[in-house]
Amino acid sequence: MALFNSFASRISFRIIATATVILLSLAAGAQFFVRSSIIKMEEDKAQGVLSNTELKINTVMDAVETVLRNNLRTIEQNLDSPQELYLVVKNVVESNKDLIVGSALAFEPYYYKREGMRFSPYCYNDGKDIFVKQLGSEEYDYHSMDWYLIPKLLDKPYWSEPYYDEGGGEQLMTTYSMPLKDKNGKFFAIFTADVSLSWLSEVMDEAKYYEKSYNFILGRGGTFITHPQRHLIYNETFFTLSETLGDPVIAKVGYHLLDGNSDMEETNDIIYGPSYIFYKPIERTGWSMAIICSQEEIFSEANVISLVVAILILISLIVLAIVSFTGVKIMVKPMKQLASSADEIAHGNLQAPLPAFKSHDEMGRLLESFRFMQSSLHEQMDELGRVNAQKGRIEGELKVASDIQMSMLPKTFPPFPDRKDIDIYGTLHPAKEIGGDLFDFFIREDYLFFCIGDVSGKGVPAALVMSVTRTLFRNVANKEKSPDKIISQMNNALAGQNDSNMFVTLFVGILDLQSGRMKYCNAGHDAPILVGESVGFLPVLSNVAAGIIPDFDFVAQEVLIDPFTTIFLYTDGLTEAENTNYELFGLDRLKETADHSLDEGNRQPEDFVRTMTSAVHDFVGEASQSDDITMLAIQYKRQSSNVKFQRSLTIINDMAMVSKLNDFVAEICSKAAVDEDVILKIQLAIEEAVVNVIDYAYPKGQTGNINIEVQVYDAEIVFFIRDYGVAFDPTTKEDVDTTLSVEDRPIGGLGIYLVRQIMDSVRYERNDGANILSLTKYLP
Amino acid sequence: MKRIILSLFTLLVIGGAGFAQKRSKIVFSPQWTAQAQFAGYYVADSLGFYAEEGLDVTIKHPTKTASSLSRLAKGECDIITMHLMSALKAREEGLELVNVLQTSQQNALMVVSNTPLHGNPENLRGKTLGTWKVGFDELLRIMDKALNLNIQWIPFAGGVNLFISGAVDAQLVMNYNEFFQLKMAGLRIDEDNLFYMSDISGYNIPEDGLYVTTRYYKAHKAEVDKFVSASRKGWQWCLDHQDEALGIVMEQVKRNNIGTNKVAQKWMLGTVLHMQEIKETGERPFTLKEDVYLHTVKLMTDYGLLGKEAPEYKTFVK
Repeated sequence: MALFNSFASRISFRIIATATVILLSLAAGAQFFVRSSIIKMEEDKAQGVLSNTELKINTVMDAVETVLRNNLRTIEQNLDSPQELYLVVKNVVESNKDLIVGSALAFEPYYYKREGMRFSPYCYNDGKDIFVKQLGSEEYDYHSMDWYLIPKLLDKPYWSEPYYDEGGGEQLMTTYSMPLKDKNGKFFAIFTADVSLSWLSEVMDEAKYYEKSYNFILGRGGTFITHPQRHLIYNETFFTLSETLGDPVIAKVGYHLLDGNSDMEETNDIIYGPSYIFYKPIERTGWSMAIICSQEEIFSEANVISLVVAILILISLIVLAIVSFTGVKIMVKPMKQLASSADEIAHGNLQAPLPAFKSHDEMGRLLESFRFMQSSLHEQMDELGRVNAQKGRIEGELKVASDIQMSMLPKTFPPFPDRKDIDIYGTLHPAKEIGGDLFDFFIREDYLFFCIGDVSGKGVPAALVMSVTRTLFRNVANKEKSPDKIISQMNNALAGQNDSNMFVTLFVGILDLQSGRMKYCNAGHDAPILVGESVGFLPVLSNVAAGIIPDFDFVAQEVLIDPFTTIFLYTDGLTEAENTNYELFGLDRLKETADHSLDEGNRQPEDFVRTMTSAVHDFVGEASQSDDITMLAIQYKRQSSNVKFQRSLTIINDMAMVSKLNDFVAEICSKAAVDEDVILKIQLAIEEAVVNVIDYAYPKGQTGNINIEVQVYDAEIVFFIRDYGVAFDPTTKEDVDTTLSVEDRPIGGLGIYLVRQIMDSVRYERNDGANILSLTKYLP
Repeated sequence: MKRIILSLFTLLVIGGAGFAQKRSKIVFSPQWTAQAQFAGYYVADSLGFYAEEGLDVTIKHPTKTASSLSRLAKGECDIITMHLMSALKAREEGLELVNVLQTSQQNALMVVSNTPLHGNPENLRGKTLGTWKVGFDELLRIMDKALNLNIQWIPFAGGVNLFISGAVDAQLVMNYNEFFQLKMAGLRIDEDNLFYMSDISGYNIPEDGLYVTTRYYKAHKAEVDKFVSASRKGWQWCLDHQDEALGIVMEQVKRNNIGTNKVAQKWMLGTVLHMQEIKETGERPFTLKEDVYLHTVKLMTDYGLLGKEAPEYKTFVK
């Protein structure tokens, strides 16, 4: 909200809100106390009035009761002469004209046999004259009347419920009835005094002290005895009123009244609506008096005070709002100026002038801080400028370094456009500007020398080591012809001056372009894959990375590369490429991609590398490249003219590999259309020769490779079994003396005997640290 | 203009009818002073249902000196309402009455007590019981005898003061009248402190019905039938228009100067209409069923309220 975007409005709002809450709470509290005390005051007043009224009523009733009591003795004296009793009741009325309007002495049935069932001397005053008569008659069977029955049954005096006298001029009456008993305690008559209650209305009216208030009396049965609405009197009770108005609150109040409580409560009145009712019982009769006061009137003064207070609160809040708003606005003015200065500074004008004001409060401190910040910023910006210039220079140099580094790598493809027997493609995607990956290749004397490597670490140090490594490779490979020697020399060179503990994983291969035979040596690098008839990892000995252990004995391996097979070399930047979910590209995906590519007939180096590149690119997605990714694919395309076809298999020195060997032999012999029974024999011979190698070529417990190469010609099939173990020529073994028993024959003799029997030629040579056994079988 | 012509025409027709046919005069006396208990008759009178039948009905309420029964006996009125049991008793005492319409199908009597009754009349044993001086208490007196309750009967003039003052243990009340008065007097009556006679097996004796003397019935069968049919129409109208019927009742109440109020009369009208239903079925037959009649006669005979042989059902109910 725009209104609350300034300090002044926000702070003022908070102040006003707080002040409003406090003032309203105070006002509400005050109002509550004022109202409570008003109600308390009113209650005291009302109860005072009600007590006073009850006192007046009691005075009258006491007088009436006393009159009757005073006549008891006369009645007793005259019981024997019933006619005298007329005089008694007449005397009661005559002597108390202002108090008693009628009196009866009503006897039990046949109390005087002579007087019949109903005998009741009665005297009444109609306001002008006094009459005496017999009250009971067939129409007026007083024995069943309330005034007679109730005191008789209750055995105590009884003030009747008020009633309107029909004969005596429509005035409100009540009758006091006193049961009389003889000496034996036997009830015999009721002595009554009829009392006018017309004064009661006056008394109640006198008690009225508000404009909007009135008083009323209820009988025991809730009947209205007095009420300003005259039609209610006698016709309605408090509860029919509640029923008529559909207001249960009235009935609830009514019950409290009839229960004889003295109290006050809120109610709804038929005349004034929301009101207070103050009530008190008239103990003697069981009636209830009540005063109704309209709430509006009771609280009229309190309401005026409330209004005044409300206006005062409103005025104070407005004043407070104005004062706090302008006050805060003045106080925060420097802040506004500071803000515009800061804006200017932020836009680059570091020399922007700061507002000039003198203050020792927080504002002053803020200005000081600003001033300090401005000067610091100025210095920092200068420094930053210098650093940036320096950085630019370094970046430029790095760019040059990177260019030099990249220029070291072969970058013209195809590299040997004149040669039909070899196709090469390689890429290096550096992760940082300069990286530690390398690959290289050159042809010397019809041998392809190639290497791929990954220097530990990244950046300039890795790049330097990479340059050294690449130079070493060129230098060493120019003189040496076996990969283990090349790597050994490189290793020693790198380890000798390796103060920074850096190392290189390397794979060096030398491919004889004439024969397709590849010698290779690995120094801790990932195994390349061969994509030929199928996709498989080239079996490699891990050795250790170059540059770590001087004079380490690196072991070379050899394999025959089948024509049109692509050797795919890569660095771990490929297999460890990470996507946004921190998953690695991995060997499985690498193989999958290669399989897929092969399925589509694609093993041409450039296409293959591009396929792999896009696969890893798709996999990585938005994730940033964390390591150099280098790939080198070499496809050997030469096929010797008289060789129909050739295959090779490399296994390790484990008996478990024998079945694989047999399958390989069977497959190739079938392809060469050799007879089934001859195949079995050849299998046996090759197995014998290889098992011999497995058993003896390598020291116990050391894993070594055994390479089996097959060349199929028109008239012969030649097997080359190659291992790098200890020099051993099996052909020098004497043929076994088959006349000896099996136990007595020397070890190995039978094997070579068998091989000689099956194969047509068996030759051995030791070349470059390898034992090569060639076995030839002429084909019919 | 059209309306004036229509009004004139209506006046002519009504005036003409008045001249054309002399209406039969009937004096009708309900058994009590003006109240909603007789709403159907007030409605039939006030809405002209009687006039439509060609009857000129005068309603005369009883006074202290002239009950409806005594008026009928003296020939001062023609048709009265009466409780079934009172009618049977009057018949035995020589006033040959026939029942021409039975409005009530349930007993309205109930007992309200200061002490718990648990719905069992046995709990009244030996208690003082306020009852009306003028009667209507025959059924409870039969029960007193039947169960040997030894009730101390206190006859009194009326109203509720006797009970409220605590002078009696219990009081007989009508569910349509005094029961409501007690409530409206601020008495909080526990359901356990009362029972309805209609709930006590064998005591649900119907009350109000219309009666004429046998002689009058023979002489004026047509008029009586018309009166009965118009009265039934009046009661049906009450059932359908309770608020308007209440207004008509209140007019009667005012005219007769009766001290009561609208809520009490509303209660009474509702209760009286409810009691016109047969308790078990909710049906409003407006006739006295034969089995009910026979049961009533037996009950009264067994407990000595009837000495002679009661009339045949078909003789009594027309």
